[in-house]
Amino acid sequence: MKLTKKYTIVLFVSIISIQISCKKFLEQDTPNKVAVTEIFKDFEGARTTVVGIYSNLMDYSYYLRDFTMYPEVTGGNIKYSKSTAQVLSRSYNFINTDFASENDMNSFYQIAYESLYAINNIITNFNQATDASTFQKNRILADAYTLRGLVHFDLMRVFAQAYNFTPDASHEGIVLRTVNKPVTDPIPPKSTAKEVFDQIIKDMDTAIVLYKNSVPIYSNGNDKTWLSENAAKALLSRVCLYKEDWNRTIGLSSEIISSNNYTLLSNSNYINSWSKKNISSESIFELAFGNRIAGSLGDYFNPFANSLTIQFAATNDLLNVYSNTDIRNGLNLYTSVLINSNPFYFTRKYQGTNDSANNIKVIRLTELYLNRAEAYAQTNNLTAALADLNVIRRRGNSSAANFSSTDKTAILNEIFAERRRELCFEGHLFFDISRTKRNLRRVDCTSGTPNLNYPDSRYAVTTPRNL
Amino acid sequence: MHHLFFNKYFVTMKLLVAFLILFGVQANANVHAQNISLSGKNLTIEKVFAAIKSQTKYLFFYNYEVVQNAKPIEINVKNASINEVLNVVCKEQNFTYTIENKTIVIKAKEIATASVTTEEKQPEIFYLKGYVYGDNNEPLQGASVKIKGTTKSTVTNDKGYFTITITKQEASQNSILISYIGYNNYELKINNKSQITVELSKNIKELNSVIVTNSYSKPKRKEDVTGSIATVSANELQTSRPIESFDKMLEGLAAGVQVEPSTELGTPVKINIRGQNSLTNLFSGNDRALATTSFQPLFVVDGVPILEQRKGDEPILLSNEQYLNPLANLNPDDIESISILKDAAAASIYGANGSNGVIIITTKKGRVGKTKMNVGYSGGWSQSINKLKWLNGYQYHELLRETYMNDGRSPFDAELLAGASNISTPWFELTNRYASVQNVDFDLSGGNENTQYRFSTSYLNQQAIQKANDYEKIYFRLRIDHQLAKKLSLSVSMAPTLTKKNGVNIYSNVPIIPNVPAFNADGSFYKLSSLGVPNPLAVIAQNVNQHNGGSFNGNMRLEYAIKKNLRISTILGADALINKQNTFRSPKNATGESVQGSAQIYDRTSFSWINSSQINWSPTFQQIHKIDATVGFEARSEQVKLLTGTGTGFSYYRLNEISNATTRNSASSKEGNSAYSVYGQALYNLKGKYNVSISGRYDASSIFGTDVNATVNAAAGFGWIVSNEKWFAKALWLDMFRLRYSYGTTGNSRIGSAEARGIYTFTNTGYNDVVSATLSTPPNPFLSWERSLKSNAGLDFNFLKRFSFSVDYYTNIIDDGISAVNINPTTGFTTVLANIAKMRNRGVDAAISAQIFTGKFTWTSTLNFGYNRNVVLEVKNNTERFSTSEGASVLKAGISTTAIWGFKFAGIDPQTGVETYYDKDGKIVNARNLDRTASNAYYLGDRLPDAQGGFINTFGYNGLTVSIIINYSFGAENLISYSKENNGRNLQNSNQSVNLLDRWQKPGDVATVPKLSTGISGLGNPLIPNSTRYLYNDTYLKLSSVTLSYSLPKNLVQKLHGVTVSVFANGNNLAYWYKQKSPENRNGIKEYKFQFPEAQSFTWGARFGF
Repeated sequence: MKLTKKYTIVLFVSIISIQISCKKFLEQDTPNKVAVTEIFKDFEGARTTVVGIYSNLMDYSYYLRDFTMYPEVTGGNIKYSKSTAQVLSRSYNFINTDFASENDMNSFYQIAYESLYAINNIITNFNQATDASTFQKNRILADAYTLRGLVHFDLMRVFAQAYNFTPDASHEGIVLRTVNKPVTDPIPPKSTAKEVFDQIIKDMDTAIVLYKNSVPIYSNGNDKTWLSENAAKALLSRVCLYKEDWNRTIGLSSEIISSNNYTLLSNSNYINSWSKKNISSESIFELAFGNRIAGSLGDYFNPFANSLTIQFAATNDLLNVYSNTDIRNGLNLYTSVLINSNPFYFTRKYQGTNDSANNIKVIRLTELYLNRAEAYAQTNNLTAALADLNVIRRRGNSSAANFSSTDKTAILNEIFAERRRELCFEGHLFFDISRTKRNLRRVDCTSGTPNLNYPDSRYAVTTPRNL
Repeated sequence: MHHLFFNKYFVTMKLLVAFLILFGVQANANVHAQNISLSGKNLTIEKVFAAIKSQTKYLFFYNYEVVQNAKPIEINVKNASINEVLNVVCKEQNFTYTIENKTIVIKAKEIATASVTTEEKQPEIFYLKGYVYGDNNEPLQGASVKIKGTTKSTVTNDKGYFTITITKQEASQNSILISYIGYNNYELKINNKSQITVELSKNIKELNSVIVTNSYSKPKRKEDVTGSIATVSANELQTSRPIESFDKMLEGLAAGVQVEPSTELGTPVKINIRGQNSLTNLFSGNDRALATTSFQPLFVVDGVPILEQRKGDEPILLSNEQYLNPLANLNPDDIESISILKDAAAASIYGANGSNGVIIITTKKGRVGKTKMNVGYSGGWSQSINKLKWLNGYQYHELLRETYMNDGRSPFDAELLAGASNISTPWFELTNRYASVQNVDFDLSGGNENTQYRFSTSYLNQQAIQKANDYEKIYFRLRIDHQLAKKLSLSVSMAPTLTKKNGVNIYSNVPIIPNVPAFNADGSFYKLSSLGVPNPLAVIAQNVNQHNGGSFNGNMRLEYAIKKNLRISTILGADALINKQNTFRSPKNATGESVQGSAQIYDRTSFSWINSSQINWSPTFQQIHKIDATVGFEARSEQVKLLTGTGTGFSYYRLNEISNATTRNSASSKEGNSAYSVYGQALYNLKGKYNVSISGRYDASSIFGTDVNATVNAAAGFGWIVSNEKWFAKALWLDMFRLRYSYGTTGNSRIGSAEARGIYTFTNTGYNDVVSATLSTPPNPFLSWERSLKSNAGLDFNFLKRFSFSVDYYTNIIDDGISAVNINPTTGFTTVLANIAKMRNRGVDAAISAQIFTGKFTWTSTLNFGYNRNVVLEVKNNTERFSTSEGASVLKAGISTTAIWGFKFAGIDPQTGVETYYDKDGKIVNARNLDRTASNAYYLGDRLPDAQGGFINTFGYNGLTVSIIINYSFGAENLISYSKENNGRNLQNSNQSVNLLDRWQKPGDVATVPKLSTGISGLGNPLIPNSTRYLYNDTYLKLSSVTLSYSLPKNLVQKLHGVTVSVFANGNNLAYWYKQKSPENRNGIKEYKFQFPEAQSFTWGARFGF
């Protein structure tokens, strides 16, 4: 075999040039995952990142359990039906510390900030999706802003004192995250409650404008299982209530109530609305389970489905706030079971498990009536306040008389009581106690700290820190 | 892809068969000598040919024109060989002959080609040509060749080739003497031979021999090497030991190389070269599987890196796949030499992958000469040693009863709960056995000046001592070296390997309680359902865990000599691995009962390729300046594809393929990474006394962020052979004296793919049946290369012509060490990989070799020693980090990264039977009151030894050889799992160590084990896994291997026409001596060291060469 020198050199040179020629040689993709730099390059990719935030909300540490149950466990609606492996028992006893492993809101804290990071990614990069229309992009962005507002607000409710804790809301809030920094950067200090609320309202206002010039981008599921202009407004009405911006609360609530998109359930339909994946006619935003179930809150409430995880029973304190004729009372909206020969009542709001897991109702029309009632009362429009209150009161208890009073405090107290009756197990009680500067009183309670006197540092959970 | 692979494979097989047939025939032809008697004067050539033909049955093949002018022939020979006769016949003729396959080919004489010596041909002159090889089968360049009793001499060229002219008389009467520094002289009666192949043997280990320094350049004389390199030859590796992979064989054979053994067949072992050079992973059992860089050295086989199997970012369904050791795909018998590169001067040419050291494996190749064939067989058996002593049924019952009573139960209840008191089932004996091992191997090699080849194949069948665990391997390797053209050479090697492994897991689960029967009265397996564990005998009989796989390692090297000292070469290598792991948990036992049987298949394919091209310039100026410079470019890429399927619900247990399952699930994963590099090395030698080497490498890798995806590592080394100085009055006893120093950097980039870029993970179960993407890894553009700064000072000297001594002092600083760290969750993430720490390994490697006797009775002895201390110098942001208490690890400045971190046990309180501990102030406190915050714990010891090494002795007498390997290790601590003596906790579910018998029973007892309790409702002792109570000193001495072998002596071999025979017997893992003794009838380090005991094995075998 004979090879000329020339031929050999050509051979060598070509081998070397093959090596050098691949310019993209060092860019390897991992098909299990997509790099941050890649995912926003098309509409579908960008959209999946938004769905990712919804699925974070559906995490056990967030709406699917910890965040939703925290104000119930601490507020006095829940007692445990078992003595071991109690979820949120540190919160029940007000002994969360700054040690991550000794703080049962730690996972919520983590997923909330992880979500904020991912949301900021969307806000920074959404425009890269060249195949998306402006209307589609606006929807992506609107969802992102609404979610950023919601997550900051939820963090604020758990880890900070209420807005009115100081007269000018200058007390410590939480760390605001509106721009992503490298993870190695130092953590900025906490913003004041006012700064946080201002940012939340700004984000939600931005979202509301964007929704007006957008189109729906998801085909799956009911419209109410995705955020919308109305959802943003409804959530903002709640934010304004917490901020004690009564006029805006009234304005936003009225917009939703009068929109006619949502109708109150009748007394007889009420219980049925809390089963399976029914989309309630009064829901404005629900977190939905698809057919591919990842879990359910029902495991903690359904005595028949899971005897290992079942534990969140209603306290007598709660059961006692209902009258005998209330559709929401212990006989109607609860399942009672004997455990170790003691009766325990489990709400039927979340009893579905697996295939029939109940959607998580994030905001319902009833809350807007109650929000507006409270705002009217606070602005001394007592008639309007009573009207709204009685709508909810008589829907739950059709044989009840209208509540009537001319005492602002009495009306506010009754609104507070109605909120507890109507919104229990939906993640409100302790936050309502806190923002209305009430003392905590728990009677049917085994916690070492059944009561708190306002003000108390324990109205906010200690911020978990690095291990 | 699979088709392609198998097609390739079949082509290889065909080729192999063809080679076998072809060379097998030729081998026969050379075996028999012919005796010819012939005499006469003025004989015509035709007559002579006819006479030879009739006496030998050889045929002649020639062109008439060639012989028509033949001179008349005078001949007088008796019983001469055919070569002798033909030499006489052709002596003064203008033609010559060759013998091929019983055919004598006559052809016209040509001008000799490319010979080194150019002495003028004259009548009456013979040519003697040959090849000279050294110990590593490397051609020896510059060996001196002399005809004894004359002044005739020559030297070999770079291929080890020589030709020398001799007279007829010299050819028949004189001897040839070949010598080379560092090797024994070789003397041979020429006996009219015209060609010889000589293999010189080293006269003393480590002295001036030629060693492989890296896969990019030619072997170098050891005295010219400035880096620190330990070598292990095929001989020293002692492949007759029944050890399935060469990495395990390295234990104790090289200074500063520590092998952490594993007791399971075919699984990877950890090798520490000069200590552990990556940070200890503090995240055991965490979701972040890959929390530090790789610990392993880089393995390079004939220029192709062998990549370890590592966890990547595959989906969770794939996470239970068992990894096999890819190094086991290399047949240890095919290894010619191993070089272990330890310092920067040696390893920095491997740049970003050289941080943990580099192990270069060179495989055997064929050489010029007769076809050689070897067939070997070995077989033997193994048994377990240093078994852990568990409680027997009676002891167990007694202790469990006491435990229940301590918890406040009545004696009646306790007796009832403690189960049977009259059953003692020896589970270990029932699930283990004497295991057999068998190995058959065959190799064939040979070649001529243009082509050399070697083919080998081997079959290994090894049983583990645990039943239903075994291992089978079939290896093939073919290597061909061919001179394509005068200046162009090609080398090709291909090595397919097939693997089958059965590894049903019967021992890593909880030890079964002894007071239950193994079988029911009807002979069926007793169900341990109340314990929630399967009956291991049922698992052995019914479950499957089998690996079937293969690997294909191939490479091609082309080299072109542009000029005498200027070469270009390219190497193209590929490494493919396929493996399929099949598991089945039968519905008939507890492993699969609840789901009616479950099957899972893991399918792994990985392909990698490498291509490097380089230019080498090696001129010599004015005889005193020698330069050897290489610059090259390398690109490599690796793709791993994983697929898994699971199925549960088998209506009939025998139909256990996934397609028969009622519920099926699958997952797949694909990962890749790529890198390119530019490397270079320049060596300069002045007057044979001073050596300087400079090497470096630029690496760019897909793993890191775009800002930092490239790095440069470089090193320089200096060597001074003091004894070559004129002024160095050679002391009578000092033969050689040399100083070395090197300094430079290497890196470690093996942390998994795309770690630096932010990553979204997808799921379709997240929300509302819509695909959702969540951010799993934050972008981390600051994640950068780990860098290790290595300095090494060495000293070598040889004395009294029989001792050689080498010592190195090194410092290795690993800067920007990568580890996963917790970060403030406010960032959005809880852990991130970061360059967080700086640490140092510092130590001494030394080796001394001696040829104590060199006469008829020989005794060679080698002692190697490695001392290493690790310390973490700095933890960035001054944040100490701790593992879980069971991990017992810490990252803390001033302490070793392999430190054991925990609490000091202060004994059992004789009054209460409770464990006591020293708190952070040194006060003795009750275990319940101990503040177990990790930062209050103590440094308890180090997992790696202070010093370790091997002592190897070989004795020889008349073909009889005894070789003994002793390993030692000093100063390591071993924290055993607390679960073996769990104070009664979990005792109702699993058996525990007999040490539990020494428990506290009543006030006043001085006990080593506290009062037993199941631990319910706050009773009993808190569990403190990171306690000195479970800490043992792991200082030991091990009689690792004794081999007795006998080879037929040389004179007998010659009589048998070159047939060699050797037989051997080997004992492996023969005896241990531990510094810390185990109490009588109790367990100590000896028993606790391995959860599953080590095997001791005895093998014997025979090997025939033709």
